[in-house]
Amino acid sequence: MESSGRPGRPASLAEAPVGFRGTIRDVAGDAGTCLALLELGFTPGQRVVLVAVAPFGDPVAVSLRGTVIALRQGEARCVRL
Amino acid sequence: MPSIGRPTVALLGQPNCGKTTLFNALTGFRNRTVNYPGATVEWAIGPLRASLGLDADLVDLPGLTSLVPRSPDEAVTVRSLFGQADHERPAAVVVVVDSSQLSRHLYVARQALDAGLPVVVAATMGDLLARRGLALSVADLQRRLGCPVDAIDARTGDGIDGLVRLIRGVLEAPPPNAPRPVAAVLADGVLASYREIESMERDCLTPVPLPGLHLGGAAPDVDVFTARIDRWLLHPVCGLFIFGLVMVGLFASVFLLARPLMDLIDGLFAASAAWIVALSPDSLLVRLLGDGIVRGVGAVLVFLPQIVVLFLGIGFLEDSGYLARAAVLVDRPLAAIGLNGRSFVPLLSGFACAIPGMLAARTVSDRRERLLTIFVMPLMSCSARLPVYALLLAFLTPNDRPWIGGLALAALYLCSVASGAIVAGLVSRLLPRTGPSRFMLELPVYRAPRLGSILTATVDRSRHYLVKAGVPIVVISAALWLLCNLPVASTAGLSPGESRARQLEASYAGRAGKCIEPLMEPLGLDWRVGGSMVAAFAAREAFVGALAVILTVSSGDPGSRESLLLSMRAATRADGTPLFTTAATVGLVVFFVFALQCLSTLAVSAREAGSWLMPLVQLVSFTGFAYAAAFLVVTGLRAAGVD
Repeated sequence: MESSGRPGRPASLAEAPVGFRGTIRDVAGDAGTCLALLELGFTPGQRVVLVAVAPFGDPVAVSLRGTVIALRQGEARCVRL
Repeated sequence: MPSIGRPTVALLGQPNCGKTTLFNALTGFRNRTVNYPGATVEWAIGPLRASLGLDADLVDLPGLTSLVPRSPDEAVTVRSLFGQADHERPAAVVVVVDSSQLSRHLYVARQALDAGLPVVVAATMGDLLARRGLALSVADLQRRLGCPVDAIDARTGDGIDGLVRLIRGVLEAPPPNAPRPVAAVLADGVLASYREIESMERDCLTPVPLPGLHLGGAAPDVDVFTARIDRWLLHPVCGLFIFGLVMVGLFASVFLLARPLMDLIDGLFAASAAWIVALSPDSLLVRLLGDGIVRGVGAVLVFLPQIVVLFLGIGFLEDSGYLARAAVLVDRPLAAIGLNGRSFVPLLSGFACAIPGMLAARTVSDRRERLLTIFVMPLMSCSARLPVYALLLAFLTPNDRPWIGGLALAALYLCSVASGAIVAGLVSRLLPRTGPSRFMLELPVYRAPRLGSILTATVDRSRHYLVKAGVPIVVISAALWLLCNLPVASTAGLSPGESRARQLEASYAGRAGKCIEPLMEPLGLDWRVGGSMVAAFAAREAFVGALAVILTVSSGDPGSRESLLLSMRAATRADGTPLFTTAATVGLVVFFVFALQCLSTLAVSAREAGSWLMPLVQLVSFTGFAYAAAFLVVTGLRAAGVD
């Protein structure tokens, strides 16, 4: 699947299309959410795959570190690629 | 709580790490759940199996992603590891790590080691790791972590003996210095920790050439099988369709599978009650035992098949990994009304009984969302409403069109879901949110469900119904029987049926029914239905039995619904017009859809919310709304010419 209209790479996991493979650049946003994401293993440099997007576009399922974790759009937006 | 002198061993790990499977393998399913004093955290505790040769209690702590707590419940769990809050400190902590996602799970192990806890690491899911062409070197992990490590498979029992030897080693070693709780973590600390863990991971995981499996090339980071299924189950269209099918299948099986067993239990208890009463029909005590207590126990047990079947279904879906996907599918709609995808399983349980549902809401980590889940729980159509619906819909359904009853029942379930959604949406708009709502749910790998763990979970949840709802229902039905039969009225010269009616009219319950008659009048009903509705506040299903007693059908064949239907049709008011008109009966159904009529639910709601404010608001608003809705429906139907 192609990224919708946006040329080049998606800025964060929230904009990534299904099947997207990439690397986390950094985690930025609400401090509590960022810390929770980091502790779950969303660390810079980590390879991620966007596995699925639920109906209504939210949440998204992301594969990393050998498992799949579902994040809401707001949380996925903190994970920048 | 653990007995004196016997050491406690705690199981710690992330959600889905295989902790509970290991717990069951080590304790042989002999365990009980304990409630942490003053908190809504519950964990299982049990002695190690005697054949393992180690005398210790094992505690299964709730899953944690970090030793830095993010909710009050997590704080209780973390505190228990450090022996605070007057709880004995565990003498050994087994950190369970999923070796197919080693880095994330070692994060908690590292935190536990840094805190100075006496740690033994148990590495599970070696089979999933092998499916990716990798193997774990236990010796290397042991060297890098600096603590004992064992690879286990709790499903087959491999490695369990070795793990017990390692636990014994920790217990026999001189006690270490007191552990220090982990201070707040900073982003830099997390990153440093992960960098170190990643280097460990590179050291400890070695590729194994498996014949026939992707030779060469990088190991896939996703379980291929799981990813293939998720493409369909999380698909925006197919996913929702399959979700709908699964839910319809779940509820259909509850009705179809439980029905024969329910009839059996019903018949059995009615027969034994009749047998007991026949022993000495004149003794008040014998009648209390037979008609009051035995029937009361029967009224509780008759729902057990439905509750067990629903929980078996939930357990099957949970253990296979599907319920996590279902939570993802419904998170967006639930978030819109102030709930969370995690509220889904508790609300689903609420269709069996509100009490296990409210207890399951403990898995909703955000306090506001948890309280809101508990608040709307009584609106979910629990199984105790079914006998009432069954009776009233049978009364309303024309004999030549039986499908109308089925359709009406489905409509009542939809009504229950819709009212829950509207109430949750309204309340969440009225009470502004203080912190951000989070979801972040791991979707575990699909696995074949294991009968053992499904059965333990089902027994556990059903026990909540039996103990927390059952005991009050039995006590209240015995008390209610006394209220219906005291003071003893003179019934000389009357037929058995007439004398029972006379007795009831003169009893305390009959007088109470007459007191609330002014309230029943606008609904087109009289004190007889009012008395039954008073009984329904003990337990909804008590309505049917009380109505049977009041309408004097119990003289001949107490268990038969047909005889009750006949006497409902025959019942008249003082002026000779029929009591149960179509309008009044529909109004009665509407009342039962919304009203909170269960004392046990109120008690559990108060305990889970930590105050009586919530159950009071629930009782007044739901029952008040039910009354208003019933009144509007009755008045509307009459105005439309239906009576």
